[in-house]
Amino acid sequence: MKPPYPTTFGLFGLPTAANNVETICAAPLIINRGADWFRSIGVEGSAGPKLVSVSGHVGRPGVYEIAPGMTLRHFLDQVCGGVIGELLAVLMGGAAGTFLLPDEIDVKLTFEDLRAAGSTFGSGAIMVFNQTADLRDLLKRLGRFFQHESCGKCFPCQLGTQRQVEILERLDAPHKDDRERLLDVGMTMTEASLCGLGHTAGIAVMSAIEKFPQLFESNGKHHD
Amino acid sequence: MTDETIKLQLDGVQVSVPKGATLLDAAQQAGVDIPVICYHEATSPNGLCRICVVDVDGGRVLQPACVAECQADTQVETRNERVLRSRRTILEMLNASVNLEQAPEIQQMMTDYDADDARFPDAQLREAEVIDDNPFYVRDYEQCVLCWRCVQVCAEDAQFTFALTLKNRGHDTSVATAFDIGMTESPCVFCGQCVGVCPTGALKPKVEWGMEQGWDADEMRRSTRRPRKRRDGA
Repeated sequence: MKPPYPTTFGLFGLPTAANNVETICAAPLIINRGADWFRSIGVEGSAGPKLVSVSGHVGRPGVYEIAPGMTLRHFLDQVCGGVIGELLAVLMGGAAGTFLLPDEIDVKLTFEDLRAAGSTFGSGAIMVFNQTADLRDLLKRLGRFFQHESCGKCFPCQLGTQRQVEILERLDAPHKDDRERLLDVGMTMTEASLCGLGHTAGIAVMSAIEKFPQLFESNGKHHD
Repeated sequence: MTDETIKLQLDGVQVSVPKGATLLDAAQQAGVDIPVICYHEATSPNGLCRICVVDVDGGRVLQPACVAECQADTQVETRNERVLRSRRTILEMLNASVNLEQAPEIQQMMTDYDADDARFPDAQLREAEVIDDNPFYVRDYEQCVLCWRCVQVCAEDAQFTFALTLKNRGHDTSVATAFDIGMTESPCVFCGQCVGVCPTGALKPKVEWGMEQGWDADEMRRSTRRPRKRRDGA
């Protein structure tokens, strides 16, 4: 049950920092080599190396350890072997991430710059899509993922991930006002869910509505 | 709770509450109505339905009033646009999954929050057959909103019987006995507390169900009789 959150009531009922493996792996390096060495990698505010996982239409997909501060364009072109074909979108941060358009990839890969651009490192996943990608299909897959992942405990996520996937599955022939339905479902999951899964289950869909509004128009095909 | 009191603003009105009070406690003290579905004063609050969410200081997410403790010097809004959108959408999504015909309190909330009962066309209803496996009550999980109250009173909140649990995940979640065994084979002692706390028509006394079905006196007697133990051991 949340609240309370681990930061105030965690292990043994005491405030608890829950760190991921990446953070814990950094600790021995900082102890052995010192904080100054760690800070020399990356930039102020995003110090230390950052692991990202690149997939999709790039020459060399894979897991990279980068020094924050380079632009996404530099990273894709100079490190990942370049975008294959013409870039359509980059999904930053994984299934609960946000889309960047081709004219937005000059953003610097730091926590602060990404946040200012309305984006995120999130899980560290960077998915690259060229013009051959079917973004509606991508959204359907994301919808199925969250429907499957929802534990079913709180109403917004249990019901919202189901309503969301129902609407996404009919994106090719939507009902009138499906866009507004997705926004209400997405915002309700984001604001009212119990845990982080529900809080983020509508983020990518709402980002797609903002960045690719044409995906949510009917193309002449309509349910009603 | 201690003797310490804290002050906060609730819809612009200053309220003083004991430290440890929830936002729902504060609202009840101030006469502000906050709707609840899963919350019941006899069960441990779990913050499941989220219909009681309120806006605290315009925070990143809304807070469930039933479990969130009052924080000193905060501004709480119980009916702003964010709150109303979440409440309305939760009701509309719930109505698309669950048969709420026999849940007058939730129906009243639908009216109060301007919820459209046809908001989600072609939505998947959580279909279920009525389970009539004992002489005391029937279970119609098509009317179940998954408030967990029945599971809780069957467990540590009252009876310590643990006959009920949850099966499946996500939208397919359902209340069930372990391994779906019949209620008479389960640890159930037929105390009736689950029926008492059910906020919808999902759990219903057998007699009430029989009257709805139009059973005559003989049928009612037959259906509500305890099955006689068979001596042949079969």
